[in-house]
Amino acid sequence: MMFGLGWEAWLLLAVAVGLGLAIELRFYLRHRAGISRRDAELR
Amino acid sequence: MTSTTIIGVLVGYLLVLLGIGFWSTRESRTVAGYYVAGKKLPAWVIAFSSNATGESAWLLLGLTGMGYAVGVHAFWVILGEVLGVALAWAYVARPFKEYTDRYEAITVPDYLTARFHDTKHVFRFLSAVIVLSMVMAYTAAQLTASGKAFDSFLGTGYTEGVWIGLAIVLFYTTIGGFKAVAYSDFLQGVLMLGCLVTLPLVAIPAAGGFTETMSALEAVDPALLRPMGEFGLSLAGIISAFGFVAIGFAFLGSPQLLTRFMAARDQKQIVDGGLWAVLCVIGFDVGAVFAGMAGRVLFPGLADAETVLPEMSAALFPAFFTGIFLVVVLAAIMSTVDSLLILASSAVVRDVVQNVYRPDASERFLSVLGKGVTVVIGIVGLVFALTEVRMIFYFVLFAWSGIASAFTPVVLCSLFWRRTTRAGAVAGMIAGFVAAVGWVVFFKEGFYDLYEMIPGFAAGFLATIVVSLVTTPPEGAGEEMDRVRAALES
Repeated sequence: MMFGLGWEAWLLLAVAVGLGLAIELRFYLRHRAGISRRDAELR
Repeated sequence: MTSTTIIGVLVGYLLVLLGIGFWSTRESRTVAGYYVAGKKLPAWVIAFSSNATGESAWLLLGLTGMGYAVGVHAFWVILGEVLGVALAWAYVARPFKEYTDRYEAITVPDYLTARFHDTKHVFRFLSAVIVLSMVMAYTAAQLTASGKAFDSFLGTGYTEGVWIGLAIVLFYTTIGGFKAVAYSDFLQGVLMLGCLVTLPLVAIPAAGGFTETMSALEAVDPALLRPMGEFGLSLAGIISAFGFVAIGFAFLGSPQLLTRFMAARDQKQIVDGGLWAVLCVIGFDVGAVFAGMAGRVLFPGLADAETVLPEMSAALFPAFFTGIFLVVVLAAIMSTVDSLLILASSAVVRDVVQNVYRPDASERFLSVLGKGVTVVIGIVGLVFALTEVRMIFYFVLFAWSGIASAFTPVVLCSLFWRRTTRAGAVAGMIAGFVAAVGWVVFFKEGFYDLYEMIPGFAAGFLATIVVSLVTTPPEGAGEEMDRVRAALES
């Protein structure tokens, strides 16, 4: 129990929020790097 | 005094919407301008617009009600929606944008027609039938919600509330086209996010604090704090949880959401927009569920769980904020109605009139026709809402999942499986749609109320794959997919 809520509930909430953020951050960092590299090449 | 404050907030909001309509007028004079804002939208607009369109009034009234009724079990909805949005932006948006830019497509049937070399226009007619029938039903339901919202907050009367809601949406949609729709959706999305983040921050302390709220919920019913809810780890519990997760699947391929990816200025906007979209949906869903859970402690015994948000806004906030909450409920309704109206108009004018019967028609004529069709579809929705045709409200049960089941499996296969054929895609659209509708009508009650999007998607994928395996893919489709992937990697 943490703040009155069981660990299973916290785990489910953490997976929901964490998985979505992890997918999106990986996508963002990977493609931002590519876009920055292309912009540099174009300049 | 209270009523004057609420009316003041409401009038201010409606004036901003009208201003957005006027500001967007110039873009709406061409077909591409009217239906995809000339493909010039920035990241933050497409992100909030897709979330505001995808959620409707269900987020504010339905998901808060779910938090109230089932507690932690509603976390599965958060998992499904956050995953659906994240996967859509990370894996679907970029290839879809690349394909549609290459084809100069501005609608999903445009894309499918070009992708499968469909010279017989099967996708255009099939899409028009599915989209029009579902959109009219869904618009009627949203207008009904508008009538009830105006009547309950301001006492305008139901009929007048329906008229006011439709008049405002039609005005800014027809004047400003998709640009007005997307920017008003942005405003509406921000309002919804603000409301859903604020509500639990006020409600949980009002209920005694976080730990005390959870203890109070456990005292009411220990199942409210269990992820598998009242069913526990049983077949019914797993089906219920899976059904909640599946709500988020619609984000992967519903045409009203894919339009946002097409309308992005460039690929960079999609890379930036994804983060905004995921953070926004986390705020929406976590806020709504925790607000509902706090509402269960503050207002036990509500006859209808979906009234918890209006109850909380009236009891916990001063009149100005009650006005804001009315605006937010209307924002959720309007952000869905405007997008559906413009989607249905594009299915008639762009997909059928322009591409099948009048390819030589001028841009000016088609954009005026598009505005006329938007008004006609809105008025048909209004007639259904005012006459309260029972059949329409029956259709609403599967309108959302019907559109998603018809399009999502086919769009995903077309983007990622080079073997997909035209016949397979047509079979997938029909099978997905019929399975979702048929499930609600004939089977749902007998199968633990399994959410119809699951059999809809299963049938859509199965039909697309099986029929594609026994037919021939379009010439050059595989090489084209390689070129799209190479462009995205470079």
